[in-house]
Amino acid sequence: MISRPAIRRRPAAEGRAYVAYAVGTVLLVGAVIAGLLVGAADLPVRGVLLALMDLLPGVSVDHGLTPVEYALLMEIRMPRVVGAVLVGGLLAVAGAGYQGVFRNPMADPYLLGAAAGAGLGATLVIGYWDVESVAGIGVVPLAAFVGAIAGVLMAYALGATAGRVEGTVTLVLAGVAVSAFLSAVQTFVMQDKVDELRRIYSWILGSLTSVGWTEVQLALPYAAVSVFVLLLHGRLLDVMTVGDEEAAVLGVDAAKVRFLVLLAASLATATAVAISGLIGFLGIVVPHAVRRLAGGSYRRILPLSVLAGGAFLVVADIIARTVTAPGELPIGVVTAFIGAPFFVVVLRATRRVDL
Amino acid sequence: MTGLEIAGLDVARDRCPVLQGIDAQVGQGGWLAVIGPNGAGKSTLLKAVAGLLPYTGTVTAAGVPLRGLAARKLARTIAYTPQDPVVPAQMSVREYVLLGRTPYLGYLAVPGRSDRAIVDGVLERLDLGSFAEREVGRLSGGERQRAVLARALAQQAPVLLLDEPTTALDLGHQQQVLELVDRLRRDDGLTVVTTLHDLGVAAQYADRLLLLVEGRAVASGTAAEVLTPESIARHYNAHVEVTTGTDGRPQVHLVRPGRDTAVPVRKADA
Repeated sequence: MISRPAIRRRPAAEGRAYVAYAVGTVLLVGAVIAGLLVGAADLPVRGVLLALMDLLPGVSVDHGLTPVEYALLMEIRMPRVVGAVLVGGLLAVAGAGYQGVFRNPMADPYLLGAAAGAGLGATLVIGYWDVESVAGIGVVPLAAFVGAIAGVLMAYALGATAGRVEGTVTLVLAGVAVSAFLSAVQTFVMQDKVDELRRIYSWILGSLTSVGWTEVQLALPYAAVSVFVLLLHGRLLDVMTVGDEEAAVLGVDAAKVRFLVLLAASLATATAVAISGLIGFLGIVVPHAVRRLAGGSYRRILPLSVLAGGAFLVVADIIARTVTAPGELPIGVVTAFIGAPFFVVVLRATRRVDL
Repeated sequence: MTGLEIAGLDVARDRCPVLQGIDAQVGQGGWLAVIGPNGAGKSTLLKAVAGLLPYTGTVTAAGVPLRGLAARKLARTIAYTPQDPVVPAQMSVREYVLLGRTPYLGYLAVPGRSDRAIVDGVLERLDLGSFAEREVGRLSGGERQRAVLARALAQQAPVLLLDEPTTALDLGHQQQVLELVDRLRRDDGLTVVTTLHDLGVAAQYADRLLLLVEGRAVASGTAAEVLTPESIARHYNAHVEVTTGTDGRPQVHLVRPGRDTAVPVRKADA
C-alpha cells in the first residue's frame, strides 16, 4: 500500500471556527470593558483598566481609584455586567439548543411555556405575596424560576402523552397550549391586581437594574451546569439535524437527546429569567446569526452563542441605561430595537439556504 | 456466506398488516432488488430490516440476528439511506459524511483522527473531495445522492440498504450512482439491498429480485425468473415486452395499449 504524504489541508470550516472564536472572545471582552466604563458617574478609564488588571491572578498594580469609585466599579457595575453576560449567554445557548432539537430556526427558549410559566409565577407573587425575600432569595426570581421549569415540564408531559405524531410537532403544539393557558391565568390575575400592573410589566419587559453579586452567585451553579450539558451535546445535535429516523439509523436515540437538551436549555432559560425577567428576541436571533456567520455545526454554534449572546446583552444594557439617562429603558425593548435591524443586516449579508 | 437473511417477517402498522411472511436471502456481496407496484411495502421492508419498525420473524445479517442488538451495534451492521434523506443544508459535505461515524462514538465522544481519515477516504472514493467544504444544500441532485451514499459508507457496515437511490436523478446520474454501488459491492463485498421502481434498472444491476405485491412476496429469483410479461401484466397492470439483452439479462419495454408498436408518424413530420 502506498502511504499518502502527511500534508493535509486543515478543513476550511475548522479554520473559520478559530477565527469565529477569536472574534467572539474579543467582542465579549470589549463589551465587558465598555460596560464597566460607561455609566452615570464618570470613572477614569485608566483607573478602571488598571483595576481590572489588578484582578488578574499574579498581577498587582496600583489603580489609583478612590474607595468610592472602586466600590462603584466592583459592587454596582461589575455584577450588573457579569449578570448581563450570564443572561445573554444563557438565553442564546438555550435558543441554540431549542433550534437544534426542533430543527426549526423559529424556535426560541420560550417555545415550550418557559416564558408563560415564569410570567405567571412572577405575577402571582407580585400580586398576592407581600414578601420581598425568603432566606435571602428574592421571591420574584424564585417564582419565575419555578414557573419556567413547571411550564416546560407541563408542556413536555402533555406532548409525550398526547398522541404519537412524528417528531416534535406534538411537543410544539403542547407548548402552545400550555403557554396560552398560563398566559390566560396571568391575565386574569393582572385584571384582579390592577395596581400592581406597573411592577408586573416592568418585570415582563426585563431589567438588569437589581442584579448584584448575590443574584449572580445564586444563578452561577445552574448556569454552569446547564451550559456544560448543552456544550457536551453539540455533536449529537448535529446528528439530530438529519431527523429522528436517520438519527436512529446512526444509532442515536433522538427522543433521549431531545429530552436532555430540552432539560438543560430550560434550566438555562429559567436561570436567565430569574435574574432579569423576560428578555425577548435574543434567544432566537443570536444563535441564528452565529449559524449564518460560522456555519451549521452545533459544535461551534453552541459555544459561539454563549460568547455572542453575552456580548450582545452587555451592549444592549449599555444602551438601555445611557439613552434616557438618568432613566432606564427596559432592556427587552432595546434587544428587540437593535436586534431586529441587526438581524436583517445579517440575513441580507449572508443569503444562504435556510436551516 | 449469507449477507442478509429474512425469514417469516411480518410488519404491522396501526395493527394493519403491511408485510406478511416475507422470506429472502442474499449472499455476501450480492445485490437484492425489492420491486413491486406502489404501496406494496417495499420501503416498509427496508425500514423493518434497518430496525426502524417493529417486526416479527427474524432478520440475520452476516450471521448475527439483528433483533435485540443495541442501537449502535445495529448501526455498525446495517447502513440505510431513506428515499428522501433529510439534508441539513448548512452543514458542509465533510461534516455530513462524518455523521456516518456516529455508531462508533460514545454518547459524548467527538470524532477522532481515524474517523476523519475514514471520511477522507470515502470522500475521495466517491469523487467528493473537491466538494468537501461545500454546504450540502448547495449540491446538485447527483452530488447530494453521492454525499448521502458517502455517509452510509462511512458507517462501514457490511449491509447497505438503499431506498430508491435513483428516484430524483436524471438518466446519466442514475447510471453513475448505480455503477458506483455495484463497484463498492464488488470491491468491498458489501451486501446491497435496494428498492427500485424501475424494473429495467433492477434487471440490469441486481442479481436477485424480490417481487412484493400487497405485502406478500409473489416471486423471487433471478431477473429472468421474476420479470416475465405475464407476471408484470398481472401485478403492475402494465403492458410490457421483455427481451433478452446481449448480456443475457432481461430488458423491459413499455408497450402502449391499443396501438401498434410502430411509432405513429404525424403528417407535419412526414
